[in-house]
Amino acid sequence: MSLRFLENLRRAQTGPYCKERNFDLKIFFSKLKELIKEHGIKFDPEELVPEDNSLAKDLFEAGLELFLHTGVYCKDTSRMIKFDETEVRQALRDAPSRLILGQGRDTCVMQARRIDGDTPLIIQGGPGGAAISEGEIYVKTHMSYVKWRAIHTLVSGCLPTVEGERVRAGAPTEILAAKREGSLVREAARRGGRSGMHIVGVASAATSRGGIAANDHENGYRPSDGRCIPILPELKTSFDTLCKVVNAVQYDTFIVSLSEPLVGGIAGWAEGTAVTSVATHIAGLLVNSAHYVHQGHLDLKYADSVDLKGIWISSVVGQAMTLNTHLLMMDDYWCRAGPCTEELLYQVAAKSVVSPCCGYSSVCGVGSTGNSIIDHNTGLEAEFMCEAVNAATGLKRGDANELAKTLFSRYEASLEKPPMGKSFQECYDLKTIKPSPEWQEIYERVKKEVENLGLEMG
Amino acid sequence: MRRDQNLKKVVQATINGDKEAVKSAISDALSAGVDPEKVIDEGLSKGISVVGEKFANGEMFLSQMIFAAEAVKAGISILLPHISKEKAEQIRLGTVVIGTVKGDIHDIGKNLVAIYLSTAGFDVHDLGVDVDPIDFILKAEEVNADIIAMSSLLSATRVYQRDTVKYLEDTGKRNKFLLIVGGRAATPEWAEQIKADGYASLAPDAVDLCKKLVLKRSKPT
Repeated sequence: MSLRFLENLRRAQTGPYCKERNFDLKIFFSKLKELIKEHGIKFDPEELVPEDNSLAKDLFEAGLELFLHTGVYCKDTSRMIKFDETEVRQALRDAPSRLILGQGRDTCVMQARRIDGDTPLIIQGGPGGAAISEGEIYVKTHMSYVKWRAIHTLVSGCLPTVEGERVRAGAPTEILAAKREGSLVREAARRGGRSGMHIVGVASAATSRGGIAANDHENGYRPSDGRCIPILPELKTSFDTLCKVVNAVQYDTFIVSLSEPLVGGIAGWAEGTAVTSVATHIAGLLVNSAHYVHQGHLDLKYADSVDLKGIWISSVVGQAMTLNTHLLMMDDYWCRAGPCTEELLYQVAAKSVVSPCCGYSSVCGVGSTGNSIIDHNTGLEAEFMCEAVNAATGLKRGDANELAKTLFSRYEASLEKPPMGKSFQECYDLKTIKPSPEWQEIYERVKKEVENLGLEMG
Repeated sequence: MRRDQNLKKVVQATINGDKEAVKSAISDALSAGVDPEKVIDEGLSKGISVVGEKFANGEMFLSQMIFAAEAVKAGISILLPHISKEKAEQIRLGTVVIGTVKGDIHDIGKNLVAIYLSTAGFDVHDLGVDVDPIDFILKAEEVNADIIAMSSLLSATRVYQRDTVKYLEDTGKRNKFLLIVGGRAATPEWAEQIKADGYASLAPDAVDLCKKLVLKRSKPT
């Protein structure tokens, strides 16, 4: 599998040729429409967490067929990297079902789970690509996650500036930012007494150059860490993205493939995005050599996944992949509201009750404000995610469905104009790295209300 | 065929995104003596408006909007020689050069904006992704654009939106073009900071913004 990228590169240079627009409209979209109809994939807002396994089966088959039809389009060569069913099924069989992440006493084990299972999930906390101010704010923001022992792994935020200079993708500042990010997240982990934590990056590296620069056993990203590598929407890649794969494989680090299809984009709405997400998971394994996959679909308008469509997609994709493969999946929490608001915590809770019963091995969050505002990510919402997910582990799908709908009703009215909340600096004590009394009070209040709804947060 | 039936055919062919059917329906309408300006207003515009609503409600896909927009474009090109100069100027709102900035290859949102602008009556030149600041300007000069629209999804790439503004300022050409920004990395505060002319988060907002800016610019001071 480690030399898969050479074969993929060959196929990127010899596969069927087509213009990108034709790929989008005639090859991808036409097939997608046909598959949705053929397999009867239908979004039901009353059934966010379906219990009927036949939908999961149909969704998986549709996603697989889509992937076999489209392959992955290489933007640089205008060719499709295609695979046959035998090699796809072999790759799914060979995919890891268990990973040991991190180093030394900070290791954790991510493992395949089953539907309605009670195996604990791995919790990945962090700003996850959001812009975080450089210097001590960057370190302290990440420490606010590291401090919570129940958060097993960390995912980094990006540096918009380095020593006051704006970071530009592809420019020398990207290299500087990538290296600086590595040392700062490692420092945050070290100060929290968890220097061996599995840390996923490299958020400041828009291109492969930054990713390569971030390789640093001592003071940056280690092989025991992880690299986020996307399958570009929808079902595409590029030479630069493949360079990230090569670097990660050669550095012998964990590859976290990002599956981020867009609701309201070329894939259409809930049904199309769900099918595309399944295909993108498979693409992540075959093209990105993924160890695990981030399931992170986004609404094109709001950059979140907490409306009814978003919750349904998480649920059905998780079920489809779990019932048909042992691929390790991570449910990504993109929320609309910001820190220090009750709406954010309700949005996290609604997602949290769904991920465990749908078979996800792990969760990642929280993308507060859709990661659109600098310094608007804190450890406390990740801690809430952790408590809610742990409380929901063991919940059956039927119960999760009702709870998710109830929790959704708590923030539905605020979805169009969500409160953006406060910055880390405004809702945390920067000396003690503890939440402000206001943020802590909101946390305790919402936790109590969620408990009253039947989720024992502990 | 009655004239209103001709117009209904144009509307339906537009909704279906069928370029050939639109051309055929327009040809039939013109042969039947339907006023070409009526074909635009009560045929093509009505059709694309329905498509826009259905897309906003989640009943139609982005791809279907693209097909419909292309059908409208084909229809307009048939009708242009038949309409008055005033009408032609009315339906052509302005010229926009659009793209995703350097270092960034995300384009789905940008494509949506391009379609909305095109169906609203703007002449849109889409430069694609990973567009150098200079290339925005060169294209804008080549097509005599009114607006340069730049999308950026990553904080490491939005700085190139500022670079484009700066190049225009440094070369004394800032007043030649209107500049708007969008994409997940851009915000109204960012637009103000870099002295862009506006910010739009959603495609319909981008259309409203462009219309407003072009109108403001065309008013004598």
